[in-house]
Amino acid sequence: VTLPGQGGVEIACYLTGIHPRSERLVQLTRDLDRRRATESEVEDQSLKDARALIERQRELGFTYLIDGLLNWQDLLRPFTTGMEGIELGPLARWFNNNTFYRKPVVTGRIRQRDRIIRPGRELRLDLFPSGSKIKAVIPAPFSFARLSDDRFYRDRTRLMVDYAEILNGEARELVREGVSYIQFSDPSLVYRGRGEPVDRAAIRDARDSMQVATEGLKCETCLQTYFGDCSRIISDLLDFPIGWIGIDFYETRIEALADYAIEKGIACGCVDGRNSLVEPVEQIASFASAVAQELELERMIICPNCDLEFLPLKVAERKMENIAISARRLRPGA
Amino acid sequence: VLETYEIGSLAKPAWRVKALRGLPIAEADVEEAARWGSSLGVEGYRDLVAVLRGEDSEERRRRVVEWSAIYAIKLLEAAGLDYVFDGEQWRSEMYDHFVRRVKGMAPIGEVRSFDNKYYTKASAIGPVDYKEPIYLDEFLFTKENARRRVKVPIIGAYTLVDWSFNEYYLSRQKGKDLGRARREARREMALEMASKVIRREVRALADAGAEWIQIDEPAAAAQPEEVSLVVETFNESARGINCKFSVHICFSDYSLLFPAVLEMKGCDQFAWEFANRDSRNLGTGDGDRPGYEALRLLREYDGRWEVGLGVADVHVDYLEPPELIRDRILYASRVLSDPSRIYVNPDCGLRTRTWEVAFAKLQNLVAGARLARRELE
Repeated sequence: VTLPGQGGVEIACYLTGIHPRSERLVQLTRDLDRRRATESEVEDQSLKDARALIERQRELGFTYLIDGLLNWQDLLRPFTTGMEGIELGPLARWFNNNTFYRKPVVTGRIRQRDRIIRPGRELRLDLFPSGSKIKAVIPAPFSFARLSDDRFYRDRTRLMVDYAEILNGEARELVREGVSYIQFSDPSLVYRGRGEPVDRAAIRDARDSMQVATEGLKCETCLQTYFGDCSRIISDLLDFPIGWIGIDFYETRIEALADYAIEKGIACGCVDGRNSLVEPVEQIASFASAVAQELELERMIICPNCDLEFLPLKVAERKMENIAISARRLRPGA
Repeated sequence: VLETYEIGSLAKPAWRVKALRGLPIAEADVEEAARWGSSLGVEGYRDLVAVLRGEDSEERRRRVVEWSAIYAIKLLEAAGLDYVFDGEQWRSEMYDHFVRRVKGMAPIGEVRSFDNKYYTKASAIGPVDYKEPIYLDEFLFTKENARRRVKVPIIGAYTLVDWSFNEYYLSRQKGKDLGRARREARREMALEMASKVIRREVRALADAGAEWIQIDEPAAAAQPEEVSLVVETFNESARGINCKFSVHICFSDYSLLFPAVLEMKGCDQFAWEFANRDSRNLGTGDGDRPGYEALRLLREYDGRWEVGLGVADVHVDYLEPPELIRDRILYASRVLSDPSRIYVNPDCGLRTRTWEVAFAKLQNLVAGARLARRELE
């Protein structure tokens, strides 16, 4: 498979979020809950798995590497438990998945106590070989506010702005510590279920909060949308202060984006993190090729449409391999 | 009016879990079996004690499962319920037990439900089809051992599909519209699961004398755009089968089900969870019962369904006093203007509670229904 008129298209690949845990780690966390394992046994295994994942991405030629967020209980958890003014709430469904998260309950003005993404803990910076391009994944302000139970601000915009300011501080620290790509995960911006699309005022607020969150960041930035159709808000997203837009192509048709002049990079989510059918290399490559061609892209990242944590580890590993091979095939000169 | 029942599952006693895994059974577990056997008046329970003290074998495992089913039936009857089952003691878990017995489905691996909780997820690796009855022996055993009327809970086609991966049906889809391919594959799998598997299971149960089948669809509102598919699968599962059907849905936004569920044909009752969302204060006024807001949907759309009214929260050990249960029922009677449509049950299966807590909750539930009945008379 080749990209027609290729030569100028940069092709990269990465993983999109929380990675599945190994069977051993699952068992140890289960044992921890039953007091049959210790925190340090879980931590040792988590480190071992993160190291193995980083090494595997490196071997496969992934452009940006993640540590798998293996000790994150859900995408919001480090922020739910790491800020003043928020309590850990009840379980709530994670969009339309048979997976649940703990709702952040906002009971006071949110403030940062200490680092939230602690190096060596929520991001295993010390495990990456030198020279690695490290990617961090954090929840975008819009999704954080939408997924919270706000009992204090009673105003999502104010909550978003306060959160975005904290996020900006965290992101700056991460960049200083060597992170070169920050993904702001924003499923709520596109997920609709049966509801109405997000209105324009809310999208403007989301953009303004991203302005705050990304202020002064000297790294690549991406707003990764998933679980919903990105085409409905693409014209607004093109004005967001970010370098990349992540699109879930299991929810968004290519044709629906074709009329827009897209100068940002596109993170092409064309490998399904929610089904165990492993997409063949030919399918991934030809789909990504069609996206690059029809949207006349200059930069593209091939990636899963969402976190791979919805899959067993073995399936996720096979999907990773096919992503990497597809990206290699599509690179100029391949 | 106000007949009572349990939704389905009870916890598995330690002696059952250990015996099935071939693990040593502690004396304390044997004593627990003897204690419950004695207090529930289980006939011949000393035989179970002897079985538990015997050697592990296939025969012993089978007998232990039967004993745990008998115990569960007796517990539900002793609590005073009008309809009983066996606490799903024959089943490993509602999804896993069924899906492993469906042709074309295979376990793929563990995935996270939340925090450190995982479940084994299966995938359609071929066309789904019926191999043999899955719940039939369990139903016949329950029928033989129960003194009260029996309601059989079974997992619904849509939930089976929503909780599974789908390789076979997706691999048959073509084209670069990935979303359309996924939707079509889900639809095809769901309709085949209903027509080829669930319908045949329902038929087998009805032919064997099941009078009331409860279809469990906890995933019914998980994909709001697919509620009409939930309806289609129900209709296909129940079509032409002569028995009472109820549909149990829990921990969901019930408003998403409407108006699509108006097209459900042959559904006599919806059993929903309410207590989990409700206040613990007494009262039957509008402001007193915030957890029962969704009843208004049933009134507004008036499908003349019966309501399985969840009055006991299954996620906490708190024992709802009979007076609180009474008030929840009286409030529902007022909103629906017809107490004859109300059945009284916990929000969901009680498997996460100890037997002590489950038993006490059910006793209070029965007492609360009695108080409400008295008020209504």
